[in-house]
This record gives sequence, structure tokens and C-alpha cells, in this order.
Amino acid sequence: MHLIRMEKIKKIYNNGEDNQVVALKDIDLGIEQGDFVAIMGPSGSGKSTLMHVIGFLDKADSGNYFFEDKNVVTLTDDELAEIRNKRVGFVFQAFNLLPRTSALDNVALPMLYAANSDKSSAEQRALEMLKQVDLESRKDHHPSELSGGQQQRVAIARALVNDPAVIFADEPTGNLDTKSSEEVMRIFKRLNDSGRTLIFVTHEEDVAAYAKRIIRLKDGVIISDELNRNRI
Amino acid sequence: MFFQSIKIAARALLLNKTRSFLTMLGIIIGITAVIVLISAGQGAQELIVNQVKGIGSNLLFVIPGGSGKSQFSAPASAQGIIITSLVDSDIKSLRNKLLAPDIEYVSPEVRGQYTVSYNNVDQIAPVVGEDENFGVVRNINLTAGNWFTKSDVDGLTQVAILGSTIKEDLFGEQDPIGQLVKIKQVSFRVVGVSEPKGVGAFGVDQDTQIIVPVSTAQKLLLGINHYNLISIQVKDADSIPLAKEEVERILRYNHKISDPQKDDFTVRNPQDALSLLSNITSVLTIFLGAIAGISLLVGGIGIMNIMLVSVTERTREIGLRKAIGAKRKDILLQFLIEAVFLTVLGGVIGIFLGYLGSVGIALIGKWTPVVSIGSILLAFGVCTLFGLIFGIYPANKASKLSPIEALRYE
Repeated sequence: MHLIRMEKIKKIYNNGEDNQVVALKDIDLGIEQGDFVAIMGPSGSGKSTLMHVIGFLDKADSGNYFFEDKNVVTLTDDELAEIRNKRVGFVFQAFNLLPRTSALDNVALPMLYAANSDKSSAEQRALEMLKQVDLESRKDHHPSELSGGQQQRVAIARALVNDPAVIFADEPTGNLDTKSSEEVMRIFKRLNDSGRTLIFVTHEEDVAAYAKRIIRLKDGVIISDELNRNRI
Repeated sequence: MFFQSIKIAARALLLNKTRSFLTMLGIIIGITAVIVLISAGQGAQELIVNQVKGIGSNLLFVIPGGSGKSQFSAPASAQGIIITSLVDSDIKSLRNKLLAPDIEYVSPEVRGQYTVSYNNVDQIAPVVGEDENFGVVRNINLTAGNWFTKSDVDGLTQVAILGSTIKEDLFGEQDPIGQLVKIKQVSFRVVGVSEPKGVGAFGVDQDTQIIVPVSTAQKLLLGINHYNLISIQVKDADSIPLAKEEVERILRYNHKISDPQKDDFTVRNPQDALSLLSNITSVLTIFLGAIAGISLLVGGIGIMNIMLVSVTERTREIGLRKAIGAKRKDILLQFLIEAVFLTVLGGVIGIFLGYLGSVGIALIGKWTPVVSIGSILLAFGVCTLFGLIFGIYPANKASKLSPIEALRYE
């Protein structure tokens, strides 16, 4: 059984008349539970669009998308928000932490939008997540008081807090130096080793090297999809 | 979820303290202005109404000179023309119970202004000549002494009742009863001091005036035979229209007037003036309230403006919140609560300041502050409504943002 299965997914951007950009052309894709996938490709290849569609941030124009064996193309915006909240976690290139808000509150944020959560257990849970990324000592720091690597680790803790089936990362090391990049990727690897499904977009080969499987896109088409033989 | 939204809103506002305060200032000023101005209007209205009521609700005044068709145009005597039409025979007729069954008391009056002196103190004071019923008709009580009697009026006795201010001016702490004061070089014995009344209707300060018997004033001070005013107390307020007809009939008969257009007297009822004055003041109150309402509206637009800026500024935050599972209504609620929070908090501060302002203005205007629960609730309601109205557009705009576009926003 696939965690994620896509059939003939198509995404077209209309930039005014006579200027259609086909970002994704009939993508067929299956991702298993426990997979660790890097999506690569030059800019404009459609890798970010693919990521947004898989991550329920954007809707495909045609095709079928089964998530946990349920076709999600017909879901409403609010139903997609529910899935984003409960079943997936996001890590962004720019971290996207709330400014002037403590690391702990940033991590607890997704639980605010989950129906069943009380304050004390949410804080407890957020603190556990910070422990997983070795930042419990920084729980009261604001993002501006944290290094880039630390901010991204807070973002990872936030992605984990609702115990999602899969974590999406869009260029998670794009704003980081080499040392912080390695730290972040090692956390991803550890999460994957403990069974978490991870899908990330990157254009750096040495970051992609952490993945089990590398999918390469060009002009909205998958040009290669193979296991990573040189895995770190 | 709702309480958390309030918390999120409060926090967002606290992060921009100066901006939140300045935004609120528009609402604060608007609400303060509405409350102060409406209260001032109502206070002034109440003051005027009470003053007119203080004259008595069952009074008629007969003023010499006709006033033509219009009910409220000034009679000739009020324009400085001396009219001698009201004379003693008129008083006698009006006092005749057979001719005028609805009239209780008739009290003629003359007025002058003279130098009044006691020992070496000189003072210019209004002197009014009244009859023995005046105290009853006009509700004037004495703090010392007694009213002069009918025989004083009939016998041209030289006695005087002092207003409380003129008593202070002439005698200080000394007891004036039995002392002689000179009015226009004529000696009068002080027989009473009236209680302080303050400035009455029509701007007459009753505390500075001296009351003497009307006949004495006519003969010894003014040298005239006519009256400047006749006050008539009617049985009860309901009989006023009847009494007015009786007065008009008697005076027309006495003065041989057949055409009411050519009346040489005017009968006025303080109730008419009262309704006119309260009309004027309530229009004034609405007018002031409307002006203040405009400033409130401007404050509300200020809120909308700032909320729009805030939405634009926090586009990435909105995108992030949506990406991690916030639904449309969550974002809508967050920004709506922020706007309502601003207006309601501003409103509460405005109500408080408005109350203080009303008390302050009442002190200056010497009326009792009127801040009705109604106007407070209205102000509160308007604030909440403004928050919703001016918050809904920015909040809706925020809630409709697509998460990826919002996240990409620089």
C-alpha cells in the first residue's frame, strides 16, 4: 500500500491569455510509508509545484491523488487544512517562525488549530518536540535570538508536533551554512530511521545524498526516479 | 478556540503598542466626543427645562403690547417701547372670580433700576414692585422676616424684601431686618430676605433684586400708573387654556378691542416656551451627536486602514498559519477579533473619558451631569459594530489568501 499515489497529475499556471505554463505534465508517482525522498531539478522544473501539490498547499488541475488511500482532489479548502494540520508537517527554506514569539509557542502553534488540545498538554508536547531537536534549553528564546540552524530545528519540531504521517521540506538547507545544513539533515535522517516518511526539495547534490530515493524533474516531467546508491 | 483567538489578537496588538494605541485614539476621541456632547446637550436641556419649571407650571404672563400673529415674536414692550395698556382696572377685573373662575392669583409687577444705599454702601440694583401674592405665585421663600401684606400694598408702605446677594452686598453678616435702606433717596424698611435662587429663566438674577410693594414702586419710585407685567396663577396646569381665554376676553373687553389681531397685550405661557426650548436643545443635541458621530466614523476608518496594513504586513504569517492547518474561519476570526478588540477597548476608554468630560463640562455649565446608561450602551454597541464592520473587510481579505502565495510574499 502506498502512502501517496499520484495518477496523471497536471498543473497549469495561467499568466494571462496565451501564456499558459504547464508546471506539471501527467505526473505518476508512488511514495511508500517510511520513504525518504529528495526531489531535485533545475529552477522552473516544477519541483516546488509538485511539492505544494503533494503537500496539500495547492490543488492539481487534473489527475488523481490518493493520500492514505483516499482521493483528495475533491476535498474542500477546509478539509485540506485539516489534513495539513493533522497528517503532514512542513519545513520551509525561510523557517517561517512567528517573530517575537518564543520557540516553545512557535512549536505549539499547530496544536492551536487542532480541535482537541488543552494548553498544558500542548506545552508538554511542544517541549518534548524541542527535546528531539536538542533545543529545550532555548524554549523561551525568540527566533531573532536563535541562529539559522537553530531556527530551522524549531521549525522541524513544529512540523513534528501533531505527529504527522509525512514531513515535507522545501529547500530546508537553502538558507543555512554547511555545518547547520549537516545538523538539519542528520535530524531528518534520524527521524526517517525511526520510521517517519520524509519528502524534501533541494538543488544541492550533497543534501540530496541523505535521501533513500532521488526523483529528478525537468520541465514538469519526471526524468529519473531511482534509489540513492551513494547514501550518506 | 475563541479564547485562543482573543489571546492571539491581544498579543498581536501588544507587539505593536504604539500603533495599536494611535489606532484606538480615533475611537477614543470619537466615543469621548459623542458622550460628552450628548451629555452636555441633555444637561443643558434639563437645566433649561428645570428653570422654566421653576417659574411654575400653572402660570400665565400678561405682557403689555401686542405681538401680532406669531406666537413667539417679541411683544412691543420687549423692544423698548413703553406701553401703558395694563392698568389697575385690569387687575380688578382679572381678580373677579365671576369673570375669571379659573384664575387663582393675579400679581401685577413694575420694574426699575435704582441706586440703593445703606450707610455708605451704594449699589445699583433692579427694583421690582410686586403685590402680596408674589411670594406664593413665584414660589419665593424668605430666609428672614415676612412678606409685606395687602395693607402694605394698599397703603403705599415703604418696605422692601432683599435678594440674598444684595443683602450680602449691603449688610454683610449684619441682620438687615428693621434697617432702613435708601432707594432713589426714598427710605424703605427691610422686612425680609429671600432665599438664594440663582439666575432664573430669561437671565434675571433674582438674588440681586429688591422687592417692594407694587403701589409704592409705581407712585414713589417710577411715577407711573401702568404695570410692566401681570403674573397669573391658574387653578391647575390643565386649566391654563381656559384661563388664557378668560384673560384675553377680560382684557379685550376692558381695552375695547374687537379684533384679536390688534391686542395691546400678550398672554404668554411658560409651557409654550418650555416646549420650544426643549425642541431647540434636542435638535442641538442631535446635531452635536452627529458631529461627534462623524469623528467616530473617521476613527472606524482608521481601524480599517490599520487592519489592512496589518494584513499586508503579516501576509507570510497568515500563509504559515494556513500551511500548518488554520482554516479560513480561524484567520477571519483572528483579524476580526483584533479589530473588535481595538474598537471595544478604545470604546471603554472613551466611555470613561467621556464620563469625566461630561462631569467637567457640567461643572462649567453649572448643570447636573447626565450620562445615561443608554448612551453608554449605545457607545459600546457602536464600537463593537464598528469593529465588525471595519474589521470584516481586512479579515476577509486575509482569510482568502492562498497559503503558497502568502508564503512567497516578500
